[in-house]
Amino acid sequence: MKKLFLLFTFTLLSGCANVMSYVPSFWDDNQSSKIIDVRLDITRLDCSQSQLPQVSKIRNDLEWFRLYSDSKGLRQTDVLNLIKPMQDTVEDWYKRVALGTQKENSVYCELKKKILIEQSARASKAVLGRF
Amino acid sequence: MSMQTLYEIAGSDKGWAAQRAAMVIAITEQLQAGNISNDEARELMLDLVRMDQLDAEADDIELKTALVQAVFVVSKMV
Repeated sequence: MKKLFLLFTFTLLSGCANVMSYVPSFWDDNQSSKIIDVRLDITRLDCSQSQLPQVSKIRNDLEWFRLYSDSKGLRQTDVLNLIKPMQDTVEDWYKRVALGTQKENSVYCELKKKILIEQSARASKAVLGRF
Repeated sequence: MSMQTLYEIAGSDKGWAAQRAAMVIAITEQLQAGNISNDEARELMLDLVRMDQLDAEADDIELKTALVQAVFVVSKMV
């Protein structure tokens, strides 16, 4: 009987785990606000100005989003996976300008901005569209 | 894939594919004009791949949200 109960519990829990993988993270005011901050940072990016402070601001806002989501705990994997490509895109840029070994390139900046505009628009839509 | 194919996709009404093709063309043209380095061009191309990963994650969240909403509506009807 005890074995039967254990088997039943295991089946029930693994079933729940399977169902939980289909459940997304839910609406969160702070995440929604921060992803729009990121989008605003990118939209306002001016490639004729110094890039380092502007890229640092985007990087910090994305890191805030990551740490907040991570601290929130379970079921935030989807939003963490969502912002990871954007973080990687920004990190490469940050490393390039933070090193300061070469002159800031405005053409590279404009192309990077175009890509980030698309990435942030898509990420914002997904974060704000949650239930 | 030749540049001609990219121009055809960029000029098509294929939404995201046209946008991506336009970006690849822009990066290639700036590289050929000497306005960006090989290293910068490589990084920008990698960003385009990352964009696809982000798209897939966003689609996943939207699909799951739609599923949860549908279950919620059906559970209200039962």
